[in-house]
Amino acid sequence: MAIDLILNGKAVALDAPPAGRLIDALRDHAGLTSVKEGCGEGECGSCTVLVDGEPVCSCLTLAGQVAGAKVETVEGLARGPDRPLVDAVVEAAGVQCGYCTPGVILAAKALLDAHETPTRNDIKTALSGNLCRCTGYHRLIDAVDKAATARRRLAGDAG
Amino acid sequence: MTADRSRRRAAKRPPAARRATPRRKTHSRPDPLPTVVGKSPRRVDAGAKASGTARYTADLSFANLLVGYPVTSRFTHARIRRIDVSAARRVPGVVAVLTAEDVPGQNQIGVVIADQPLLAHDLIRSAADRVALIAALTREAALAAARLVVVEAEPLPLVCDPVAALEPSAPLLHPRGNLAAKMVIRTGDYAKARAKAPIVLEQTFTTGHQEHAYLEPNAVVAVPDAGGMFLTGSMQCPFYVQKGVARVLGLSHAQIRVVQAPTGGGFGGKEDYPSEPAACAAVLAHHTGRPVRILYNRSEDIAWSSKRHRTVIKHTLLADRDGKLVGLKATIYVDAGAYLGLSSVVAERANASAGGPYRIPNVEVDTLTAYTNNPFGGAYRGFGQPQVTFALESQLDALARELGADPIELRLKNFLRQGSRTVTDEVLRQPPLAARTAVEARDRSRWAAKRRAAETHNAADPDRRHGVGVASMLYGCCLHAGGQHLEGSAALVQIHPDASVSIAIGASEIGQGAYTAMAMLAAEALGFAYDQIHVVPTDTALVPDSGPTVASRTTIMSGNAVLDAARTLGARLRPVAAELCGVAESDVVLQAGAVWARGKQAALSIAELVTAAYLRKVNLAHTGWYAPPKKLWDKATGRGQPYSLYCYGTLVAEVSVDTITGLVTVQRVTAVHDVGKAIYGDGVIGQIHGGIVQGLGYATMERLAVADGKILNPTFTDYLIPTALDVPEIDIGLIEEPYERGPYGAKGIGEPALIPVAAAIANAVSHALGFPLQDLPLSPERVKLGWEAHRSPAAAAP
Amino acid sequence: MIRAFANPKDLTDAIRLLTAEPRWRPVAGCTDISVKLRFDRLDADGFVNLWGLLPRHIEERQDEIRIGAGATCAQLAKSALVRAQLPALFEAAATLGSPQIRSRATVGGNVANASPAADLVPALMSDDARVVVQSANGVTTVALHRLFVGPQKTILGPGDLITEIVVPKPAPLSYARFDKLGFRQAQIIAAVNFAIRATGAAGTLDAVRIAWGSVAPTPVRSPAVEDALAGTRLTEADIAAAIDAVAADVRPIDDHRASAAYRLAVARSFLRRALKECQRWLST
Repeated sequence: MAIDLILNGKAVALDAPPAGRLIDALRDHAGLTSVKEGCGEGECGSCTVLVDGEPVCSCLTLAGQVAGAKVETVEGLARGPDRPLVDAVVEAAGVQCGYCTPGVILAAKALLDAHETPTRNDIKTALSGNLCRCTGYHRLIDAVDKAATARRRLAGDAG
Repeated sequence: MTADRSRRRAAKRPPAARRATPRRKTHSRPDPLPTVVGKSPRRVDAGAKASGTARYTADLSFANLLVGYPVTSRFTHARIRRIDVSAARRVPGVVAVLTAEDVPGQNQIGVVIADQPLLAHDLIRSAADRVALIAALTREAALAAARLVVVEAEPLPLVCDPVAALEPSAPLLHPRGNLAAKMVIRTGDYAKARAKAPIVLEQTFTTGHQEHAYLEPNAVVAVPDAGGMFLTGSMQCPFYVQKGVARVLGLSHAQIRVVQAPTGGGFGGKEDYPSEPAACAAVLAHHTGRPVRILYNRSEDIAWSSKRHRTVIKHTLLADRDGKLVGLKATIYVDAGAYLGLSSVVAERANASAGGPYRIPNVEVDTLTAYTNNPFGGAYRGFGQPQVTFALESQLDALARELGADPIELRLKNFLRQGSRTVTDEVLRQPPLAARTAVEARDRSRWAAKRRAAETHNAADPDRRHGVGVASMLYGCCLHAGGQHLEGSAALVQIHPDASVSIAIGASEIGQGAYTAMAMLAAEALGFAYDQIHVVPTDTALVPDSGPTVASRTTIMSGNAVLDAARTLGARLRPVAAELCGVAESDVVLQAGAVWARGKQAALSIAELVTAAYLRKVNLAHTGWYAPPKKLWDKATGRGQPYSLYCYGTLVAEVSVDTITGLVTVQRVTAVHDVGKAIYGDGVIGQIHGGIVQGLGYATMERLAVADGKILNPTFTDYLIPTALDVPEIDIGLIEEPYERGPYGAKGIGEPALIPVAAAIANAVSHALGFPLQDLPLSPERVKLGWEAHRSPAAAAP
Repeated sequence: MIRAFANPKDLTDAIRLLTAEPRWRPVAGCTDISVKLRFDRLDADGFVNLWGLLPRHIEERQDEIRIGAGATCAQLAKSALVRAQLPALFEAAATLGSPQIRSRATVGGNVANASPAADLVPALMSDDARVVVQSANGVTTVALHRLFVGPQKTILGPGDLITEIVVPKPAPLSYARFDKLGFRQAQIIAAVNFAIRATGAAGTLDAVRIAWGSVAPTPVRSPAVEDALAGTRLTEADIAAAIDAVAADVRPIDDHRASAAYRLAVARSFLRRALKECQRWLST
């Protein structure tokens, strides 16, 4: 029985075992390999995806639990209106080995969608479920800060 | 120059990456300064990584792919009686179950000496020893089969302490004895100095294991290929993998091709270790004739891979009443684990670095590498140096307390100067910059005011105490003289007919930004635009063996090789340009993607020049090479020149210690490093940020719990590394005094960034609490129980 | 491998399924059960999905605060009501796990898993919470501190579902605090959890509720300490006596996270700090 969901903006029917992990459904059945497995125990955040806008560890979520939900990965972001957030992480030199990067970007998007003016501490808290062993986090925090400013400017222009 | 300033300057100009045609077109002469080097363009690999299109090893697809799985036993030290894999072979979906006799070549993977079988057959010496290999259609089938592998063995007594391991009564792990390696330094006359020294400080320090905790666990694929083997995977040292796989398969190096896949972090953990899973995958692929992929999960990775060495350091520091150091004696016990791996090489660096950046005339250092049944030690960022730096810098603070002196003033009194002799009796020719880094760190951090403020705050005896500490460092950059035969490095630079350039280097990209720095150096030296340069994945078939990607050597070694190739190609292009422009060759300059003739931008573009060169059948590919001059060094006394160059650094850490819980919070770090020349600005800053946070973890929270040789916390739930909420404010100062042999003056930064961190934090915590700390990590439990014992010694006594 | 996965249409349907299939497990946020699954510590044949079925309200009704079992930690940490009335629960929810965990972890799951280290439980216990249990036989209410019988063990049977947590509205003038011993600033399993609620007037403590986590096989109330404090004026001697009583209420163990001696030392320090703070509160 397929799992019906909205994946990166498109209605899809994923033919994956519902009792299996969401990360496996996304990687093996939808080819979304930006979703990385770093620990499989919900600690590193490399497998973060957005489910109905909220960040979740796809290694802890059962595939069947996202039936009817909206699921987003970095592949979707990179093609959509959140591309500036992806670019901000690149421009701020927030990428080193890159393994944690997609998960960090999704955690950041969840924050920015909920808070227009996050403080530096809000950003740190939002990223506290994404382990990064390379950057020491500073450039990632800077990137999210800059992306927040850019979004406000854009919203201001639009308004 | 300061980092902040360098960023601002970089920010003024658009990154070179987005300048397909240089702005300089409007200028009338080439820029006398580097146009790319020293800037911070967009990383060559960042776009693909951030948008999820970079394909790491687990993301690749192969036809007929099998899952490989190495099987360990429940034993830690035992004599094997029987290994029975018959039940495992019958599990549906299992394609092969192999044991030691199935290894086609040598059943051996020791990097330095042949002491480590790929598959155990007579003795099990560690919990990570493999007894069998499984290839199956799925991981579930492989795991089911692994559970059915029967190992009957007679347990042997364990040795889990590197000091006890060297006692005559200790059970032996290897026939040669448990002393795996010994390094010494003998300079001056320590015994005489000790007899006369007015101040003798003796302390014993211990440091725990550290797990690399790169985010991508080990991953490798082996694909049988025309009688040989193709491998790709997460690794630092493709040439090590090539040699290791050739040995277990009994094939020549030429039959093994290794291409590095995008690698999710290394930090030394992927220097020597990936050869093990690669050898396992290759043996399975050889037997099944199918591609075999081995992916470790996090627990397997922590349980099986190498760690930063646990050490015990017995340390005596001699000084006079003026605070001048007169002698050092250190016995450094390095816990190798069950096999040597790279432990002797790590020990070599610990040994050579034991005296830090100080003038100490009488030195007796013994570095004893001991076999134990513990998890095995391997390469880890800093390579033996964070441990000895912690011991020495703690002793310097103990001396400052003894004398009532300021810790930085005490260090300034003792730093190496121009022409000083190091503890290995080397006369320094390059200017020693330790004092400059210390003065800058002192001033930037407002050291004196911060120390006073902490002391005033603590006088009120709050639950939260403050402290400020310092540590300085000297880092011998690139390989130690003992390994100098591996130093030669290559780079292939190829200009294509459309004037795009591909470069292949022998070193690897593990997140540190090596490919970006290489692209920048190539652009600068060729005079091409940065975005014309592409870096191809490191491939043993493209470039000669270039040694390992370690020792903060890539920018210098591979960088110089890139420059060598680029200059050769420049020499081939310039006559063509001269001919086309009708000027003398000496009047032609290629820079920033343009051809300049007699100081003016020529009508000729780089693309036209390359087309013309191809029409003239000019060879526009060259493999550049760099090897530093030979270093003279005597193993018996440890005297001579251990390293080609030194980097210096000083770090000031400000901490807050919660005495209710024992938790240490690092609030601010000021790091000043002597980097020669920062080639890729953001890369240098990124290395320093990352090194500080990794060092902070080592100092405070990263505790590998090991009992009877087994790791009790092989998970990210229980092995804690810093999160975004644990990081301090960081202020960075860069000292840029060009190194004569570095590309555009560059030195290394990867390891210096981490080395002094734990030492500075420990000194800050000591300052906060008022008593010395001798054990890393400064876990909350140690700090809390230490504090309670310090406050009421009687109550804490058993 | 667990293959069965059921998406029941409502709670009654879920209870029917769970009663019929005792080896199927109810799952909501899955943040705890998936970890058990990952380490081969889950003995079950199937999952019954409750995500989206459990009530998620957080509301004030007369003299109670009622929280749907499906309310997530992220919800609790955003709730002005919880922040104002149940500061210990607020703090526990806001610091539990990571944002990724908080967006899925439910209050019902945190209680039902019966982990000795469950962060929300001591906070709820210090506020005298009760759990509402729905089963095929109807709806019952159990005092939270009577729910647990051992690590990962409750008095609940296979078809019993926690649907709501009910907390009496605390007295308008009271003191509350939550402390957690973890070895970094985020994403941590507590080595000691501590929650306190004290009421009093005119310099005298009236009632004190204290609960501990990670210092016994289950989260526990602290009767000896509570008795030592009730009715006192919180003098230095009263505080010392209360700290001495901690050892009677907790039974910490040595494990790879922390030694028993260290857990006890921190438990005593947590209590001391809270009582000093409470002393200042009483005197104002």
